[in-house]
Amino acid sequence: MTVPALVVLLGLTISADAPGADEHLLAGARDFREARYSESLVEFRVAQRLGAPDAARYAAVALVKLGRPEEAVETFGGLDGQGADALVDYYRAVAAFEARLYVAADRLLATIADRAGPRIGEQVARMRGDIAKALKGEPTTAAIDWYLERSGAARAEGRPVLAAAYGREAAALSARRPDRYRHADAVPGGGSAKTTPNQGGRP
Amino acid sequence: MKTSWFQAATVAGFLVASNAAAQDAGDAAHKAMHDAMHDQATLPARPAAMPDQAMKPGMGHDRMHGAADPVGRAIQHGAMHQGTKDAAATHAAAANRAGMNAAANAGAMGGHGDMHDAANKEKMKEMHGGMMGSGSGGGMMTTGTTGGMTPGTGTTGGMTTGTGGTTGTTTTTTGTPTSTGMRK
Repeated sequence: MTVPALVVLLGLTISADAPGADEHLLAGARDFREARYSESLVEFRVAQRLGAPDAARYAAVALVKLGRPEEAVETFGGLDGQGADALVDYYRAVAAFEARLYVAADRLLATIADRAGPRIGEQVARMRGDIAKALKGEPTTAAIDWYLERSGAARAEGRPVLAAAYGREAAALSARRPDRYRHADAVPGGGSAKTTPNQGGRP
Repeated sequence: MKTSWFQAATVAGFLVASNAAAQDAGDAAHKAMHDAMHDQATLPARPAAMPDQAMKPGMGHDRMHGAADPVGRAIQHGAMHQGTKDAAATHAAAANRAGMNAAANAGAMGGHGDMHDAANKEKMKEMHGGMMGSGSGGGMMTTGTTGGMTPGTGTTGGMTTGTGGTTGTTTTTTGTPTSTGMRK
């Protein structure tokens, strides 16, 4: 009698969470398909709490559709590296794009081009073209100041992932200038909360 | 004991089947989400624009740029205070002169600047609500958060102008209602 009880207990322990999480994932997917993004976000959050490993990135995708790119960047866990799923990476790039993290977005989009289907591939090409126009020429000091300010603000708000993303963007932009404006402030891991605005009016 | 092992085998079989079903459900959820993500994958709503480009006039107000479009915000602010265009414009001009557009002048404005920062209209309404004149164009607030308000009643009365960027203040006031409003 002990053995079956043990097996039952073990089985319940193993399987208790998974089916519930999957149900919420499925419900979230259905909501997402019907463009009910707020509802899908709730379902994914619940699934995440129940231990579904992919729920967080789906929640991040829902946040992108809800126009909350900064939260999406955080929920994705940042913008570094290439994910296993090109489609999720596409949404990650859109989150970066909409948060004005264009260098990061372009880096992600470059990894997607070969992995996505034709429709997504075309959208990737259009986004990259748009980013190329925005990044054409030398970044202004005002832009770098803005990214560092956002980084510092995010850090002050206790949002280290976002702070790091803005800090890296500032560093990447600074590296495109001969004077490497405020590059020391834009170290990986986030910019300094102390900012020195461009008071000299330099472009 | 035989019964127990039989039970154990049954339960184990059930669990294997359950896990397989759960796996199927998980796979179905991922496939459904993958298809939905593909269908819903759209381009970003706005074209790419560096933050300093987005701050240029005519490109709209960006919520991330508190200092953008000070004139427009001042006009909005004026309109919130007064019912008439003239009064609104007067107030907007005063606001501009006083440098209310950004938090930089918060100190000079006696806390008024804070209300203009971050384009937090709701908060502005809430904070200003108790200070607004009740007349049509009459009445003007003070610059401090604790200043009183004089509910003017005239069509032109009560509008007080800012006195420039040094103080931004105008007037007044003890909070005592008057029939004519405050006039500087």
